[in-house]
Amino acid sequence: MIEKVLVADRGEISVRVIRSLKELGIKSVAVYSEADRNALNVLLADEAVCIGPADIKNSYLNFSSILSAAEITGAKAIHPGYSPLSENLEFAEACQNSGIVFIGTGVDTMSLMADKIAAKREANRSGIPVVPGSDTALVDEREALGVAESLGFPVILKAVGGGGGRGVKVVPEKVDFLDSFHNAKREAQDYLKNPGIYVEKYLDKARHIEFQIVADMEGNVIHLGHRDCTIQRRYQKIIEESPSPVVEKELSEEMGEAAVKFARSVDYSNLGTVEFLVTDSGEYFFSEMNTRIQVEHTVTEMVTGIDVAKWQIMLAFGERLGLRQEDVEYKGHSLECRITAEDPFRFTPSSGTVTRYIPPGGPGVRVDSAVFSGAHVNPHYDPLIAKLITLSRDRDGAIRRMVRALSEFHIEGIETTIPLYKKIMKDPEFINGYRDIRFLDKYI
Amino acid sequence: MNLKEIKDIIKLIDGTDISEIEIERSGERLVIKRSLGDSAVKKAGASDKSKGGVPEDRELVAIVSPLVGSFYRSPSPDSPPFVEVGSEVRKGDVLCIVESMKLNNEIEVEFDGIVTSALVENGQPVEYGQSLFLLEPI
Repeated sequence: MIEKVLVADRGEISVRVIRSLKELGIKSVAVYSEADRNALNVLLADEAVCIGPADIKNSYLNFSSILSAAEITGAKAIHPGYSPLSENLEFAEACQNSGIVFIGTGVDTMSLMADKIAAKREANRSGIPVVPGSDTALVDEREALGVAESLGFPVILKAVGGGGGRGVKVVPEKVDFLDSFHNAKREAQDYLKNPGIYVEKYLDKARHIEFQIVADMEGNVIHLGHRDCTIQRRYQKIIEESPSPVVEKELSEEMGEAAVKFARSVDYSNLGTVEFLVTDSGEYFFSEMNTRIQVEHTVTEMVTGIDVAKWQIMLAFGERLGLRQEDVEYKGHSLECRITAEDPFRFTPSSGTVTRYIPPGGPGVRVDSAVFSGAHVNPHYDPLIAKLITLSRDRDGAIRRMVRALSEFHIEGIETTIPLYKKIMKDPEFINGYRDIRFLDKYI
Repeated sequence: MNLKEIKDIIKLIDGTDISEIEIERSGERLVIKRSLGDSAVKKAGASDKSKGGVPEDRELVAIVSPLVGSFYRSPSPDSPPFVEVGSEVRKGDVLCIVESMKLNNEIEVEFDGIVTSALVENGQPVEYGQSLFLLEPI
């Protein structure tokens, strides 16, 4: 059994992973940039190594710093959190070459799912309907326009090597296409390894429904139910819940089975999330699969009572999945609000020292955060500062609990999006399960 | 001020953002400057040694590690260390090696000076920004 794990991420997820390691009796090593010297993960971990200056490229994304830190501390495994390293093939391979266990899925499945078109092709092959779109990466604008026309507008442009909402553009009409295509290409070239763009039919009003997959290295695969992550701002999720207010149990089971079938067909191991788009009429289409632990794994944990982060570590060390699909039970409804250090209505980033931090508590309230009174929120990094999660018997209860929890949550010294969520939780459309997300336009 | 006291002071400031510390005690004044990231230094002010009763000024510069790895005083286990306490070094001289992922990185000094102390034991792990040597610039 591995005795020491290096956690190669920062912020709330690094704290989440360290907590799981502590419960498993495994020593933890935190890595930090000079800007994060007094961060919570550094305080909680058994050991900590400074790996570079504030900027991410030379610290948290610096392979050799991180692998060196594992070497000097004797850590035999690395947990990449949900940092870009968690889906970085080269990093996973570098770990392998150094004899270090990479906590996550295998290099083959990571590579497959990182190529969004290849992943769709595989899903199609395993019999799952996929979002209609181009089956190759497109470079030539005329060819791309042709594909868009055959699909019918509106279409959506996505980066082949993207994911997590990066490089996504909706093109409502033909007249907007060429400009959008140029911009999408340029963005992909500038920010991503893979400059390829693909076109898909834009399914307006579709719900984003994703399934948590858990798999061991012996071919046992199950799902832990679904999450509805439709509420997004610029393709970034802001509110997630489990289960979805609009997906019936039967449809969920069918989709869950399809997700498991797909994962099994590619010999998937460890954690993964299969994303579907579900239309008004109940049709579902495979969109992509993410191979890292997700920010919103929390709502799945609340509803199933299963410690997903802990399982991820145990599975990486070869533990057999003792659970069968029929053992998974769902109780109640869980909601999560991603609280970020941003102006609640203009979303301009906010940074500085948190002068007062009073988190909510009580039954059915969970806060995953790395922030505390006196903590410094740095503009260099992701603005997520806390995840506020509630659990109750049903959706109404979860919403009311969220309203109560938000009213107790005091963060001073920086701006946060707490006021935004207070408004959304009281919105009648949200409370009714909303038909589409246009109701959000008045807030974001 | 003896070497142990200086080492203790260094240990104190190593975990912080402090880049310069000045200590005056019974006629002695010690200034320690840490250059984070690079080893460039401002030339120390002239110290007045000639008159009796005037404190002796010393400005020391800490050489910090630009990477994570293992610290070695010599090019190989059998060879003598690159520098010793008291060694005079010229700009470009190698002070030590920080080995990372089986690669030996030579750490060079960017100014002329005298090594006044070695702060890390041979073979010890070092992190980014950790002080390795104290040098008195000349």
